[in-house]
Amino acid sequence: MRLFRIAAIMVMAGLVTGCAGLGDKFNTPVFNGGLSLTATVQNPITNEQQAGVELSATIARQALLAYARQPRCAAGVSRVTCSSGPVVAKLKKANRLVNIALVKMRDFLDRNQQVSAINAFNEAVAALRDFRATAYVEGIEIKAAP
Amino acid sequence: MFASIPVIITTIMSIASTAQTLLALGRDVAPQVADLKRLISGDKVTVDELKEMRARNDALNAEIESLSEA
Repeated sequence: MRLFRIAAIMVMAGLVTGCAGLGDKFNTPVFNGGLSLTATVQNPITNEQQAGVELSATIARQALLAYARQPRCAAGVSRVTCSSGPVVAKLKKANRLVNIALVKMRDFLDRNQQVSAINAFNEAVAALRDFRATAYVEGIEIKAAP
Repeated sequence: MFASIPVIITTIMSIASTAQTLLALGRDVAPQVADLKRLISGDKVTVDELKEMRARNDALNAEIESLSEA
């Protein structure tokens, strides 16, 4: 009986202190190491990071437009000093991928979906890199972050 | 000697055109480059500024979509 009492006290003490600890865990979002699926967390992507992606996309797009606005190259000629239809088509395709990634990133960020927002942000950065790589292959260098 | 004159003129025109394109590009991207510099130096970006950046990007995207591929 005495043993039972001691055990009961230990269990109670454990539960009380444990619950206090668990209480914190339950109020901490899963993204921050807690157990709560509903607790709000600060969006992991800052306005400044978003701005970096938006500005980089703007610079890349302006470079594309500057290239495309040049006089068209003669048939079969591909140079940086004139624009070629097939190159413009290629860059437009890369730009579309950037746009899909950008729209996705904005959507997740606006709805404050943390995990998806990080993925979408990384996808947008990767799409921008692909865009720059496509432009580089065609002789158009776009120097901009990220 | 005289035969090379048209080639020289074409080359000069081509260089001038490229320089003009680069200058125009420089002018166009100057505000964005300034904003990027601000970001790098640790300045904060407001929600309104972000909205403006998005709108500008969307306008450029629309312009690109309207480009002829021919």
